[in-house]
Amino acid sequence: MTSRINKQMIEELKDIMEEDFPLLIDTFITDSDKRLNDLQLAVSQQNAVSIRELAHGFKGSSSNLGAEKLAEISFSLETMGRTEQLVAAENTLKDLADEYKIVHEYFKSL
Amino acid sequence: MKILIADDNNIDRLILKKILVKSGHEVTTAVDGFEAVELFEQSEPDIVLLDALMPNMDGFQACEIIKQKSGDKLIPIIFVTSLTEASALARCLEVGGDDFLTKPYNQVILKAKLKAFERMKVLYDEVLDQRNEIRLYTDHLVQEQEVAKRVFDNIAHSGNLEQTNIQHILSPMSVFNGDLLLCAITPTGNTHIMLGDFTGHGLPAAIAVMPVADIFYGMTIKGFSIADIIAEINNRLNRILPIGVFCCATACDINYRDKSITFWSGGLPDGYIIRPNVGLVQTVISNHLPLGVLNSNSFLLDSKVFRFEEGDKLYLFSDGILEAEDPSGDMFGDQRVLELLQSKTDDNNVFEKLLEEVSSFCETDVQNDDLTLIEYTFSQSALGERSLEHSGLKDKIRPLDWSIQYELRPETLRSFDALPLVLQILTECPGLNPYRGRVFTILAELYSNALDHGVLGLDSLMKSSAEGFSDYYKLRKLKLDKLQTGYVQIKMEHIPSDIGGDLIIDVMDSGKGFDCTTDNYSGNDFSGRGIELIRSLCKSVEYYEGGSHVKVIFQWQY
Repeated sequence: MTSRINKQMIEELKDIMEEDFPLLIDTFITDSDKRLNDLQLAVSQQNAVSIRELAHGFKGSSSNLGAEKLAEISFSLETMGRTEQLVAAENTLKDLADEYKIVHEYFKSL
Repeated sequence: MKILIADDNNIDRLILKKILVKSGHEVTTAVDGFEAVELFEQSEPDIVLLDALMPNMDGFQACEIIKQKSGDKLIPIIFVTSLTEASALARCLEVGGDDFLTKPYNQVILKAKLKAFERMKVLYDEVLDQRNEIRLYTDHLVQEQEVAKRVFDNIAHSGNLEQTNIQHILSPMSVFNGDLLLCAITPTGNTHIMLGDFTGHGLPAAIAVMPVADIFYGMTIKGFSIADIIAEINNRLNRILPIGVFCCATACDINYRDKSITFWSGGLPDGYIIRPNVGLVQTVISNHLPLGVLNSNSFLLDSKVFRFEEGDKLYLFSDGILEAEDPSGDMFGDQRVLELLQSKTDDNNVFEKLLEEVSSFCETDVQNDDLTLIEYTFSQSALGERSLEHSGLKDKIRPLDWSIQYELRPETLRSFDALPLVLQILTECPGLNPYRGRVFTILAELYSNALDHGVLGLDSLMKSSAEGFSDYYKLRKLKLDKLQTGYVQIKMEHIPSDIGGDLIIDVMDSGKGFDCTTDNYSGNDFSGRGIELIRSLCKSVEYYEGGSHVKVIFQWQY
């Protein structure tokens, strides 16, 4: 398994955030839920600009939380948005949703 | 430090803020560029961290606006971005950003960069403070110089340079290059002029200008001769100036009744007397050391007397013009100046023309800063513009009833100008003060007649030709040097009246007398004017003993 979650990074974040760590996780989940919704709408409308911006945000927050695979998929989707190559966008979004589900479960377990 | 961060990504913002707060910084957060610009002014941050891509207003736009608002201050902007393309990162710097950091954050690098910018800021603030200090200091200095210039102007330019027969150039900042140009009218209506040029510039030269002007005006108004004034200035400068600082100067006394000019010159370029339709009639050569070099024992006073008459023009210069150089290093020189002065036809623009010539010679614009020049035209009509009396409130204090007698013997006649002393006694009577010019004129004329024509036996007819004129003064000096016996006795008596008073001046000399009638002289002749002038000023003039004794009554009113 590619390191789905960078555990070392999670430990560092716990160190940094201290008592605010749960707040960080909650924020991530709230933001990501919304982004995922918005992305589904953007992909159905084939809106390249929105796809790019939303995926960019997804990439940023997931990489900061050490969710490396999620960040990787977000980056693919962002690239599609930027290059306006949306053929595979629907499939990639599906991958993204699946991966997010796993990451979501993991963070909830922390 | 106070740090403003702007990031639309909640996670990023949370983490970044936490890192910075834990490092001891005071953090303000914004969710987009628009809010960052808004918060910038009220939070006054030391450093701004901007995400590049944000809704509403992105980091690039916000960066430009914030940099503009920072003005003079260095408030570093660091872009924090997950962008990785070189062109995007380059753009961060192009819009005015100072650095960039890529996401995800590396705490160590973030902290190190903040430290580096903090050091840079301290350094920059120091430079800025120093620049402001220098600016303040310069402003202060200029202001001080302006005040100093006003003080200087009050002392040095209280004279009579603004007459129609005088043209002059004096650098407006002359006080700081040590040039001076002074002009004052004596109680008898003579004109004293002095052009000086101190070695050195700046404050030392400026300070030395002050006593020179003070002595010049103070002594001129009291009736001292130009020679006495020059001697006093030299003594003062010799005492106060450090070695190597001195004043090149030419001073002259222009006598309208005698139509003569008396010169003392030390260290300045030649001056010229140019006569209409004749050209150069006299070069005034500097034959002394500058003022302030010699002490009073070795200082030489001997001055030169030349003829100076209606329409004659006197030119004096500091060395700025003569030493102006063309690109190959040749100097403008006195020949060019002289040619121009002799060839000029239009009276009004001689200096403009001279400056034009010098400018075209040098092939650059001539800086007026180093040039001091004067043109003085002998003009009876300009003389008429000047009042012999000082205006002022009439003083109601009446002079006392008094009489004095004063006898001057050879030693005194040779070396001492007694008139200022006598005049000083008269000014003790405040009611007479408005008349001191007239009284001085009468005294001066009676005294010089008694000394020259009485005691020394000189014939005033000698002065009617140019050669005779200079012979006259040579002979006068010779006779005065050899004088063994003789005297001039001055007796003054004042009788007050209800409306003013009568001042009786009685002058007697040891000579054989002289032709004191005015019949021998045509009305316009210079030698006879003295007696005519006295008659016009006095209530009565009586000569006794063939002219060796004269008694005049000067009547004055409140």
